[in-house]
Amino acid sequence: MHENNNKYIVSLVDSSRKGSKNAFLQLCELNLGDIYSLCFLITGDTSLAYQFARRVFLDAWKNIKQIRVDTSFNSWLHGFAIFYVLDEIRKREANKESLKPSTAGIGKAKQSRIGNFLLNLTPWERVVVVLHDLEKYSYIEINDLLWQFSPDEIKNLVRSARKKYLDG
Amino acid sequence: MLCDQIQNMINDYYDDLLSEDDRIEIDRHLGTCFHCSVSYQEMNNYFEQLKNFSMSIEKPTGLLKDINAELTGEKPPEQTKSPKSLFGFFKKKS
Repeated sequence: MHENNNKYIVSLVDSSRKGSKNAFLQLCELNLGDIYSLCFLITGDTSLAYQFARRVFLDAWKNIKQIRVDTSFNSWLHGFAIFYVLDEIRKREANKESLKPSTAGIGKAKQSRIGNFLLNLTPWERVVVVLHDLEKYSYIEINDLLWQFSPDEIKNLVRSARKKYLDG
Repeated sequence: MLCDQIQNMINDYYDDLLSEDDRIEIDRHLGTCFHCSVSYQEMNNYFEQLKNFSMSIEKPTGLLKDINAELTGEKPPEQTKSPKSLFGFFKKKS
């Protein structure tokens, strides 16, 4: 089943690379929840997550020919989404725009302990927690994406965030 | 190894930054120390909750339609959300 599913996805990626919008839309449907969740977890904002996820898929379509045959589409898309979202956060930070979570439309998030914890982290704490503790990036790999922090600073951010959860 | 040392190393244990010898020693300690095994369980719980939370976030309705519309040229770009809905997240500093 898993192998058949992989073959199916590979065939969709192949058709998308050849220009099939229908095949690409099927890939979108399969990955929609995953990418939206990732965008929401990093930004803490439902509206931005929607906007960013939409942009990620549209940019992925434009760049679909760049995907290597031996790369998993899901991994490629995740990397693409993370790069895009971090870039958008940096742009907003450069414009002196502060980050403030907005959970309109996701009421349950505020009610659970973990949801409350995530939404109350500082923006960069949230980014590193999602990348390290959820996406399983190493501290060194996160440093490649967030060059403004050293690996030790990233480690400290993750650990201070964990402590907030465990002490909370 | 003492409990204080174990507590200080529990993050490294989870981050897989310890030597094989240290891991074995911590595993052995966790099997016999109630206090440290509670800390270990709490950290386990944190990772589990994080994963469950990420999986519990529902797909937004309309997103696939929006992508479809834009790909097929049925809708002009950047008109899928009202400006009002974006208010409140990146609020400009006064």
